[in-house]
Amino acid sequence: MSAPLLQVRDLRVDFTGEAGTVSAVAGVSFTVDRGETLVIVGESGSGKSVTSLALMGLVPQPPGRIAGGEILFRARDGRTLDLARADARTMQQLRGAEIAMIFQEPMSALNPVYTIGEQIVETVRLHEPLGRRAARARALEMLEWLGVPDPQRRIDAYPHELSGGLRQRAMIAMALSCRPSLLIADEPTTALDVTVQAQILDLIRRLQAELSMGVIFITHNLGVAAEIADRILVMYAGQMVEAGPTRTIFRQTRMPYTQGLLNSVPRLGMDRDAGPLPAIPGNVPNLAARPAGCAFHPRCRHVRPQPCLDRVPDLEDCGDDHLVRCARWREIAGEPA
Amino acid sequence: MTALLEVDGLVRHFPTAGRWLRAGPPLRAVSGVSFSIEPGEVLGLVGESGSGKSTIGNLVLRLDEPTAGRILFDGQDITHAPEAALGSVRRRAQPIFQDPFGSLDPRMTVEQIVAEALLIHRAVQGKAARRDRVVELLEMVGLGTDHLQRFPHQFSGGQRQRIGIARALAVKPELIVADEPVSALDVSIQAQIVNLLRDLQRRLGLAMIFISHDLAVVEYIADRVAVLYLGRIMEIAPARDIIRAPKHPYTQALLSAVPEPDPDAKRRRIVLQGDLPSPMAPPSGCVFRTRCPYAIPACAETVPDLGEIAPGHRTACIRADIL
Repeated sequence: MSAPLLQVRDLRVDFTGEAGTVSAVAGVSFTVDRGETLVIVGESGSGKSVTSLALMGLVPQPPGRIAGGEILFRARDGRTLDLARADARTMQQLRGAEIAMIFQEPMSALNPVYTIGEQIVETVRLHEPLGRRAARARALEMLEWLGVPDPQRRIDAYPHELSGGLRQRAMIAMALSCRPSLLIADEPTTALDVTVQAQILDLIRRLQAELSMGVIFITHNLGVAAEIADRILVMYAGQMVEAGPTRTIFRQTRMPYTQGLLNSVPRLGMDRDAGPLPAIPGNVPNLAARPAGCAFHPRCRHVRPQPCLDRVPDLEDCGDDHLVRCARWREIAGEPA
Repeated sequence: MTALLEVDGLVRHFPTAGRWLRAGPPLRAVSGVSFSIEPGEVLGLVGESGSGKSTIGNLVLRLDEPTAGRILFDGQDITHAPEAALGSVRRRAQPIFQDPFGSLDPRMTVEQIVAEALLIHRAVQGKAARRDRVVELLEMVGLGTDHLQRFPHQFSGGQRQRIGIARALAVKPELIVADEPVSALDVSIQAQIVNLLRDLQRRLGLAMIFISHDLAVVEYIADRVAVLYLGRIMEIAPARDIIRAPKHPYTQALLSAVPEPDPDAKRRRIVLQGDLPSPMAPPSGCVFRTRCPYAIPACAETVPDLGEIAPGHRTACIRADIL
C-alpha cells in the first residue's frame, strides 16, 4: 500500500506569552487519504484550528512554533515532504496549489477591493502558467462548477455584493481553482444559515468526490460531523481524546467527553418534560491552566482520584481503528480490564 | 386572561441610501407581524438571517420604533410612547443578548453590573440590601459571593452569559427577550445555559421571546414557535406541532436542513434553490414563492393569510390543503 496523502505524527504546537509557554496542540496524530474526510471536533481551546494552521504552515511565529512531530505530505511529484520542517518557499508553493484552506468567514479570505474573478485569476496564475484570458475562463468554469447562479455576471462582482452563501462559494472556487489534493475546511459552515449550510455541505461532498481530495473538516457541530465525516477525531484541551470511524464514534463512544458532547446536543423531537438537557458541568479549560492528569477530569462524571488525577492517560487502541484517551474506558464500557 | 404582550401588524422599514442624494427603496425588515404572549409563556422566533427576528425583539423592547403597527404591553400602548412614559415597561421587559463578550462593560465589576439595574429602577434601597440582592441573583444563576468583585474578562463565555441573565432578572421582569442567548457558546456549555433559562423561566413564571436559529433549542424551550421568513410569519403553532408536523413548505425545508448528530439518520432533505431575495425588493404575493418547491402562479398574486388549520396552528400558504 502506498503512503497516505497526509500523515501527522505527534504534532506539537507551543505558544509563548507573558505567562509562559502553553501547548495549544499537545501530540496529535492522524492520517488522511485521498477521497477521505476526517472531521476534527472540538470546542474553543481544543487546538483544532491551530492544528489546521500548522498543516498550512500558518502558525504565527512568534508567539507560536511547531515544537515537535512530523507532518508528512505526499506531494504531486511523488516526494514526501515534512511540512513541520518545510521552508517558507516550499509552503508557499504548496498552499493553494496542492493544499487549500477555506475559512468560517469568507470576508477574511477575500480581498474587498478586487472582484471575485480577479482573485480567482490571481490564484490560478500564481501556480499555473496560464494567460489572463485562459485563467479567466478557468475562473468562470469554477464558478459554474460550484453552482454560482449567473456566473457571467457574478465573476465581476465584489465580495460585498454577494450573499454569505455565494461568498462562501466564491472562496471555495478560489481554494479549489488549482485542484488541490488536500482541502482544509475550518468551520466553513458555522456562520451560515442551516439551509445554506446544507447547500455548502452537499457542494463540498460533491467536489471531494470529483477531485478525489482528502478533506480535513473542522467543526464543533456534531450534526455536521455525522453528515460529512468518514472518520472523526475529537480534541480537548490540545489533545486528541478519541478517534475512529464515524459510526464507531457515534455508536461505541468510549471517551466520557465525547459521550457528554453527544448527550448535550439538543435534538429535534426531544421530550422536554423528560427533564433537563444532560449538560457537561464546568467550563472549557484554559490552556494555561490545564488540569493535571486527564484534562477532562474536573468535568467527568466517571472521575476517580486514581488513576484520573495521577497522570495523563495514554491514547489506547480499543480495536477497529478506534483510539481513546481515558484510563477507565474499559470499566466504563463494562469490559474486563 | 389578557395577553402580556400583543403585537399587531408590526412593520419596520429601514431607509437605505440610493443614487446621489435620493433615498433608495426601504429595507423591509418586518412586514406585518402579529402575535401575542400570555404571562409565563415562551414564544420562539426562528428564522434565518434577514428574517427580521432580531428586529422584532428590538421593537418589542422599544430599543427601536416600528414604522407601523401596534405594541401593547399589559394593555398599555407602548408603540410610540415617549421614554418618560415607558418607565415601568423598561423594568418589566428585559433583554438577554447573544454576545456575552460585548454586552458587559469590561470596566465594571460583576457587582456593579448587576446592581446597576437595581439602582436605575430604584428597586432596592440601601447598600447592604442591594448587595444581598446581587448575591441572591448570582446564586440563582449558579455563581456566588466570590464572584462579586471580579471583572467580565475573568469569566468564561458561559459564566458571562450567567452574569447577563442575573442582570436581566435583577429588576423582576415579566418578559425576557433573549436574542440568540446560547449561539456564541461552546456546545458543552449551551446545554447548561438552556437548562438554566428554562428552569428560571418556569420558577419565576417569566414570559419570554426566545430568538434563535437553532430549531432544536427552540423546540426545547418554547411553548409556541413562530417561523419567520423575510419579515413575515410563515407558520406559528405549539412547538411540538410545528416540529413534528410542519405545514408550511419553508418550515419543512428549514427542518430538513438541520444536520442530525446521528450518522444513520434517514433524512429527506429539501434543498432550497437560490438565495434569499433582497429585502429591498421582496417578491410579490408569498415572499417564499421564489424558492418554494410547490409554488404555482397564484402564489405571486396575493399575500397569503396566516390562516388557522388546527387549534393554535396557523400557516401562511395558499396550498396548505395539499401539503
